Amino acid sequence: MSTFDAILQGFSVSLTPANLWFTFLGCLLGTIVGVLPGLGPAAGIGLLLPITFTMDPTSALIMMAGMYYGAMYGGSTTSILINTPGEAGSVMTALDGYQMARNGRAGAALAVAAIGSFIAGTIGIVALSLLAVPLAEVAIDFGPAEYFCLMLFAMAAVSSLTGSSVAKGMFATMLGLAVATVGVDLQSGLARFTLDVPQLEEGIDFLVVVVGLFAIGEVLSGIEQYLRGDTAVLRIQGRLWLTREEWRRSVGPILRGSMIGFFKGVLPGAGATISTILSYVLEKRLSKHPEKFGTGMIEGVAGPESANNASTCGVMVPLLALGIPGSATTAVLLGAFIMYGIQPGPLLFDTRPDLVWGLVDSMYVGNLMLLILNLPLVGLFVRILYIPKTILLPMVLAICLIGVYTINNSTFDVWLALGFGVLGYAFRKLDIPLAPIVLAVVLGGTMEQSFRRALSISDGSPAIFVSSGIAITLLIAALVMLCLPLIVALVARMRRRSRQAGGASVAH
Amino acid sequence: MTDILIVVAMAACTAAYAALAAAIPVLNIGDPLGPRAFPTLIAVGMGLSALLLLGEIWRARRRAAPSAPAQSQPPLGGRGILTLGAVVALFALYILVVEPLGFVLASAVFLMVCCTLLNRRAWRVHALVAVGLPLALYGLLAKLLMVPLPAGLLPF
Repeated sequence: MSTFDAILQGFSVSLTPANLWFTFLGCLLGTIVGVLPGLGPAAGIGLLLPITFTMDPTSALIMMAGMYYGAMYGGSTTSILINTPGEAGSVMTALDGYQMARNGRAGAALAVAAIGSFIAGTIGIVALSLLAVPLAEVAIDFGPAEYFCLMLFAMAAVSSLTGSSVAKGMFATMLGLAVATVGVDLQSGLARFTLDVPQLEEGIDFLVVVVGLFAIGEVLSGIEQYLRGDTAVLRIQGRLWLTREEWRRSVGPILRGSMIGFFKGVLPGAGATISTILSYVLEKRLSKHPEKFGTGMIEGVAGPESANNASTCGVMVPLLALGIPGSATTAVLLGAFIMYGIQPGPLLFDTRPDLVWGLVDSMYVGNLMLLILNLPLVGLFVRILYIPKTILLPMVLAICLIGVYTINNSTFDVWLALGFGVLGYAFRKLDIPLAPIVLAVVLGGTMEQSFRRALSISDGSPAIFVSSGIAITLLIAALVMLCLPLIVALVARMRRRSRQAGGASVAH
Repeated sequence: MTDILIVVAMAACTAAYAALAAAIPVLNIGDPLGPRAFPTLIAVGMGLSALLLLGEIWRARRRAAPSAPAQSQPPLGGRGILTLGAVVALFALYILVVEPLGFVLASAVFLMVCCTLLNRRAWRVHALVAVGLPLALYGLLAKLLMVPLPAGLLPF
């Protein structure tokens, strides 16, 4: 069956009434989670996952993917109206979006964010459909050694790119891997790092970590922000549409942002956030009035918002084709796949084409739904922002308790989640990135297994990790990722030196 | 100063993890590598990251010597820290009583106290939320979606 046929077949899955309903539900919940302070897509999916155990996996995954890209739409709303990004991908949107709102163009800012996201989402899904299969074909011969190197590369990229310091990112990764080693070792049956606590024998569930770090920790940060004083919510003014002039100015940024976002999303690392920064910088450089950026330029909203949404399609490529997530939210999605007993990766395209293409095709439908949800109905979601934080944040805590409690019906997990919550709050203050922890917790088990399997094959010789071109390339790429900040600093210093030397010779 | 404390905490974390890893017995069953090798590598990686941070601090010191790092936000006052601590304590209490009292009652008490702690004036609204939200969630999850939640003292 050709890929094209498979894509068409996928629509027969995604367009069933049940799956249409779950796409809608996912997009709706995603938008709400994106708007809500203290909840992002990673925590939202994590909280939803335990109650979907009994559902059909395809429908459940369609709903969770909907939540992921839906949150990107919702996040822009808070960026524009209260200057507080609902999630990390919307940070750049706040720069000009909030200023547009203050200038009375909130309607246009919200409209361009929604339209840009829609166009970018559509371009991204087409690219995803085209790119996923070739990538899966490359990966089909991967052995455990190649998989280990691939995971090492993904972790190196995420540690290096998500924070301000490689050392902190690397520590976060190691901490996540350490959490993943807690529990009974699968091959020897020995309990490791359990401290004789029986509840730890099955390991620490990644959902506990996700809800702790991203929901409870975020609520604590939200309370701190509230105690420092709140920002007022701006009213939506102006028609929710663009003038001809604004439309003309937005088309270029939307298309360029889509490209940047998609390809940045395919590469593991900070995905959405970095692509929005790149898009913003690019638009500023291309603009005839770079000095006006930050005062409410529509290009500064259109570009990053499109990049943000296209990157959610980009990150699905390595997730589906290789089984490797490139961000915290996709790590949670991978955890969801595994929980349903489905291993994403090259074989998935052959064994479950209905699931893969049903999921991908549901994203077309979902983006269309989100456009409708976010333009005519944006006023409804904004009302969530009028609910005082003093009520919203405790509500989120109560929802966290249910979400974690229902994983194993035990309060032990909730205690752990509270611990991770306090840790997440502290890490946020200390500028230690959280995404690498989640990625490592989800990938850690598989990573150790492929490490040990590779060494079993080679009878303990580490040479197996440099025995194939792919493995060597991935190892080098991982090293480059870790040294990237150092290389950048060195190049900058050399340039400065040569400029100083040049200046000195002129003075002579 | 904070950065040095982070390094110390990282080193302590590494030491604790390494000590626990070293205590894993190595038996000759299963694969040749055994259950201790991978955790040992992680401990090494952790230690390296602490050293790397030390290096980063040292480089940053050398570049911009005496000037204190620009603090983006002033530290939270004593009252603020107390409130945050109280929220964490309340959540801990909530975990303690959720099974004996049941989800609805425990959540109602938690929401009422927690919301009122953050904002003393709007207690009427809080009472409404504290009664309504747990009932709505319980009805949706436990009754409609059959998710098991602790019923506790209430008969339903």
